[in-house]
Amino acid sequence: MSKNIRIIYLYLVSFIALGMIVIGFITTVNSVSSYFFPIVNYYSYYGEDSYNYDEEIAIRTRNAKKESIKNAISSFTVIAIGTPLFIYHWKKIQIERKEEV
Amino acid sequence: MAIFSILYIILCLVSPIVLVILIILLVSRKHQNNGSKDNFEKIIRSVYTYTLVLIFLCASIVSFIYSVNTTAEYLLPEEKIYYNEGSNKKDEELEKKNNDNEMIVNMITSMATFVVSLPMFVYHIKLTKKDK
Repeated sequence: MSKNIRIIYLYLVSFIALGMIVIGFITTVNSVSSYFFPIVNYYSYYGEDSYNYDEEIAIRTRNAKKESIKNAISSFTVIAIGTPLFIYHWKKIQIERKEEV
Repeated sequence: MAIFSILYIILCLVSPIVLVILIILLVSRKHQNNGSKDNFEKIIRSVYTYTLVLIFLCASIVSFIYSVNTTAEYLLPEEKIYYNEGSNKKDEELEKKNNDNEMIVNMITSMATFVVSLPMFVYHIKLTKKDK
């Protein structure tokens, strides 16, 4: 029974870790592309005549870029945790399979 | 209230996993009762591989469709009509740029999803064939 639980554990952790890697990779790509193509949601109340329109747009663009950098870092951390986790548990599965054979 | 919502989220995340484990345990117990003893690892492995095959197949199909759609939208953009004559020129430019950027980001993300999920699908389908 304990061996069965161990097998479930190994496959479950591999499954979750693989999910972490894949989702981390996709979100990293998303954040990096958001850095190069930032989305600035700003519409001036006073129109283009407002006295610091360009400056505000520039600040909001910088903030959007900073946000995407933060997202990229967090998703890269997910990959950095998920990859060794997956490799370790997948190797364990392979070793145990070989031992059984 | 926040604690309840967190508990609800945890329950939603954990309960399917617990359910799958229970099903696997029941199936394995039935197999052991039938006399086939070392089938448990095979069952778990096949559940694992087929689940991943299903997930990556869905992901690759959806991402492919989404990337085709976003590429088409980017190449053939919808022309917007501004009824307000005195609308802000800079705001219009900003909105256009934002829409373009959003489309490019969506396109890149869906292509990345496709690029990741297709080889994963192929690898795991090969794994199932190898196990057979």
